[in-house]
Amino acid sequence: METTYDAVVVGSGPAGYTAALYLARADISTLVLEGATPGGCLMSTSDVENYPGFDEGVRGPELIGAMRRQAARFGADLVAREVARIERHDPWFLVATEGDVVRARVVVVATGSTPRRLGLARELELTGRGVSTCATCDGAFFVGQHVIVVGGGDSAMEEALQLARLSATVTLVHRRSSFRASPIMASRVDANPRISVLTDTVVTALNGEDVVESVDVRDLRTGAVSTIAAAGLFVAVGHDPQSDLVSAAGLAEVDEAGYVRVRGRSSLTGTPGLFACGDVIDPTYRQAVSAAGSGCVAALDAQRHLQDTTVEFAASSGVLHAIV
Amino acid sequence: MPSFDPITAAGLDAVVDAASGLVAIDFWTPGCTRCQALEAVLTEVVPDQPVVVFQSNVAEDPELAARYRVMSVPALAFYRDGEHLRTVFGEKSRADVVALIEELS
Repeated sequence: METTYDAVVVGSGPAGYTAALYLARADISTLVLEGATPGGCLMSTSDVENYPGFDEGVRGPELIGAMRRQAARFGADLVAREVARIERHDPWFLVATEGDVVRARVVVVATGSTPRRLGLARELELTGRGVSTCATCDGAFFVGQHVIVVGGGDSAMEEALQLARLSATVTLVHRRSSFRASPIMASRVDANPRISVLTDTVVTALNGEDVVESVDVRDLRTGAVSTIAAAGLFVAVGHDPQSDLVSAAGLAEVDEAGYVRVRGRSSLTGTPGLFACGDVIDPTYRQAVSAAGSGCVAALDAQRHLQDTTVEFAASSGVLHAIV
Repeated sequence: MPSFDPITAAGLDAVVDAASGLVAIDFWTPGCTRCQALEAVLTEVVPDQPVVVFQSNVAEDPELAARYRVMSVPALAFYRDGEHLRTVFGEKSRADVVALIEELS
């Protein structure tokens, strides 16, 4: 890994790889710090049916793999390292990973989001003992058993449909009366004889000695609490933005929910040279294709910034040696 | 997969008893990208650490996972002198893995 780049991209979903592809193709030296687990949310998505250009659909990991190769083809360096810290030493950024420090003229933050938890007592303790957030990974443990999926979005529908192939029954529990999921996913769930749906219902407790044996649910309309026998509870209740890296350092403002604030339709944060894109700025759309588009915007904004500050950087090369 | 020697329920006792020092079993399933990520971390970290790692494909050999109540992958089960110390679940960074090994060594 080199120690100085024009651009460092932090994150490796569709936004990060698209930004890297655009930057590298514009002949800008680019490093992608992909995190400990490259690929983002798409890596646990089995079939992506709504990414344009793939008329037969494409598997999430395959799509990510292609984006990664495309960025690498134009010369982006890709390293599966987690970023510990980003610091501003005007006009440079120092990006610290485990053990290394990289200097960059611009940083593109594409850190995405992490799965949200239900916040139940014993949820952490029983994670890996029946509580899961990945049907693709853990479905095999629940063959022929009863499982519960919590959530109302597309990812909850996908978890339920996947589990229905292996498990005896799937109960989909959702706190609202209607799903946020796309109609096509919701209608597949409706049509699946192994899946039953409980709307206006929340999970209130996890029961079992040292593995999940049942869960308590409360009907929000009547207040009635009942217990459902289940060996597995799959949580798909959305995601929280991973913005700590830039918010803690005071490099970017975040909203109440933790999304990085950007200026208008751009990727500009409050710190010149720091750009943000993808799920970490997007509480609304959160699609692979919108994240990719957002990565493109960040790359073009970063490219312009690099052009505008060339003189400044030429003058600061002495400063660079002084700070590192 | 796998990068480390595979282990089955039948072979576990022999291996864990014979090994002096820390032993870890990495439970994984095919198609589990989080497992691949953990494997990559282990491949990088383990050569410098006082631990012997084996892998268990849960899809092929559910018995071993069942014995340790592993119901989610990736999972890392640690042993020393034939005794089960701890099982941890989910993705881990390099720093997480090194810290775990140091703590349990």
